[in-house]
Amino acid sequence: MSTPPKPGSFDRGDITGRHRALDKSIAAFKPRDAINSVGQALRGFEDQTRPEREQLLKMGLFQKREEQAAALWMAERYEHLRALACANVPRTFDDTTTARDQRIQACALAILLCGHATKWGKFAGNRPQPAAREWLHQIFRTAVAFGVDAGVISQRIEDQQVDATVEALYVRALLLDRFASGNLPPNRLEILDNWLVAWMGSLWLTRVPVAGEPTLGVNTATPQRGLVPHSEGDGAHLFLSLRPLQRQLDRTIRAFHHGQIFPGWGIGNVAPMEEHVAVIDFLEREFLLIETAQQQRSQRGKRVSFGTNSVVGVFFGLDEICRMAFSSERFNTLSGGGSHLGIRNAINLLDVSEGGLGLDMVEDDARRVQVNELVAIRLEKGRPCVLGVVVRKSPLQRPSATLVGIKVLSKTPVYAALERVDEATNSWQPGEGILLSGVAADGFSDSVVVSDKTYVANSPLAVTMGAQVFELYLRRIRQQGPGWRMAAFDAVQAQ
Amino acid sequence: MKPPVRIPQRTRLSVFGTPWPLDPPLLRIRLRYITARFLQMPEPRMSLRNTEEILRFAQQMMDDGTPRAATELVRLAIEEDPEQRPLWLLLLARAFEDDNAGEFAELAHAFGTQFPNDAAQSEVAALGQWLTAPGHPAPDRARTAAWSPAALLGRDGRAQQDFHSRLAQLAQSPPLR
Repeated sequence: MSTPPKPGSFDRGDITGRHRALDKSIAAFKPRDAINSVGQALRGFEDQTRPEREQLLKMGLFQKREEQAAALWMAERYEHLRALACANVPRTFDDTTTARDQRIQACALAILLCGHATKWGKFAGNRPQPAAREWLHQIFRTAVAFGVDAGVISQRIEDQQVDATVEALYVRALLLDRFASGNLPPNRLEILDNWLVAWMGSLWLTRVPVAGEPTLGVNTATPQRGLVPHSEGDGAHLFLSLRPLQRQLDRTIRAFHHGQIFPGWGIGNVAPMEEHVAVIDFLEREFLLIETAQQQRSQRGKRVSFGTNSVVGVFFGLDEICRMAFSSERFNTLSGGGSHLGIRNAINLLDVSEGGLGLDMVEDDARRVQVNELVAIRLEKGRPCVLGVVVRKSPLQRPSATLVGIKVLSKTPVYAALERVDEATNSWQPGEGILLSGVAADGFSDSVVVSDKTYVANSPLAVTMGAQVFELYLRRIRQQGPGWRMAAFDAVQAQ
Repeated sequence: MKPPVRIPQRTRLSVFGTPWPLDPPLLRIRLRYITARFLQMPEPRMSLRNTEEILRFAQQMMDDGTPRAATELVRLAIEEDPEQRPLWLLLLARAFEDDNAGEFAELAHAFGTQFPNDAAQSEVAALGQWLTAPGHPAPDRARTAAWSPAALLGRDGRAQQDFHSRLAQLAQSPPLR
């Protein structure tokens, strides 16, 4: 008698083989049997791989090649199941004997898998697949055309039975598609997905935008686009108001106030509190961006584009940045630093967007760079450095190459020689820092980056600006990493 | 067979009528949440009773463009110690500026219960009436300016603005070392 497999122990080849066998035989199944087969394959796959998925998500960032390989395999399996489920939907509608509930079930399963595939594609570092979004829109259009989009169905998601409509699952998939394109690490995206599932009752679309409310819009006939902030004349014909989502976020926050980790189930439930809070911060920022999108669109200035795949000069850590990134000797070169870390190879710019950029580094070098490390990048000779923080590392498809994701803190950082109070001697001592100009005209969103030793809450730093000496009283930490802190401050003119 | 007995969680109601956990594990989660959400609060129950510190944090969060987080912090502080009058005024000012008549009315009622003879009661009532009047113009922030954290803390806005303009000018072509 063979021993049953231990929970979580599985053979990847065996699972892949079973999915391939299903792929070959599914065309011969009746549509309803095909739905059941894909549903069973999904449940079996999720039950068997749950411990490994949990383990992967606990790490937050997949830094080792084995973890990356595991994530790629998961993404490939979800993508395969998605393709199987999607291909079955047209058959379900072509077959006139298929009952309404089975059609709802077919659409719901396919759209659920579209969401899963998007999420795991992001975890694995794959680029979004336009064909997947096209299928997503097409299935929803079919569901609407046959009037099954609002039918409620009980769907198993992880170990929960959730009542959902095809429309709610479609909105969840669209939101995952939107949020997966940002800087959200895998464990936070998983927490967010758990929340979206718990918010299903609020994930519904309207045929007209709600007057006076910030709204996202979608055009189901445009596969290139998902949910985007709506503006007049953008071609969207279905709308998602932000207010119900904000109310759901408030409900989630209240659960934490009451001492409950929302929603109380799912892989994200065991994540540290900081991760849950980071998702709240992320959603608040996203909602604010959506609310102000219209205004920003009209105010957006000219974007500077840089040549990608070109060598850039990168400096690592506050000390090196203060010493080299603002030095006149290095201003007209693209030679970087990092020798103290052991970085040996040139670093290439992979891509650049409004708020971040990606660096292409040799794996051995990238291993020496920590997440939350402060970096300064000179994108062009003779131009000031951009100041940023490392937010993500993931292997690229090319061997021995790693993508290092940077969030830009400031495009115009200013080096400052400071004086700080030495408490032991009660005297002013020289120090250094970087001043970052914020967007608010009143100056209260300006920040100063100093070493963690220099930062003492509510203590003053003296800095000279022109002929005037100011005292900066250090306040709330806005961001921090190894050896550095970026803090708000109150400025007063020194006597 | 008898159904299993479920022991209800021990809670009391906060001053806003929301449940407040008393069970140690739940209270621990609440405090861990507050610590993680609002950095620099290693001792949240102490910090939440420090009115000046809360006003400062709230103002900084508003400066950072996160007014919802600021409101959340102030509410948590009031739940911890409802006697912190400036925090009530700050919440009332925010509800007024947001033109949120419903929330303003709820806050005004709770404020009235907490501070029945407070000098600000008449102004609160007047603002509430103004908000509920149909077709009223946009709220005038000057009416609640004295209740803002900046005013309550006596913050020097001119020096900050002066510093900012000098920094913005320097950032156009940052000096080299």
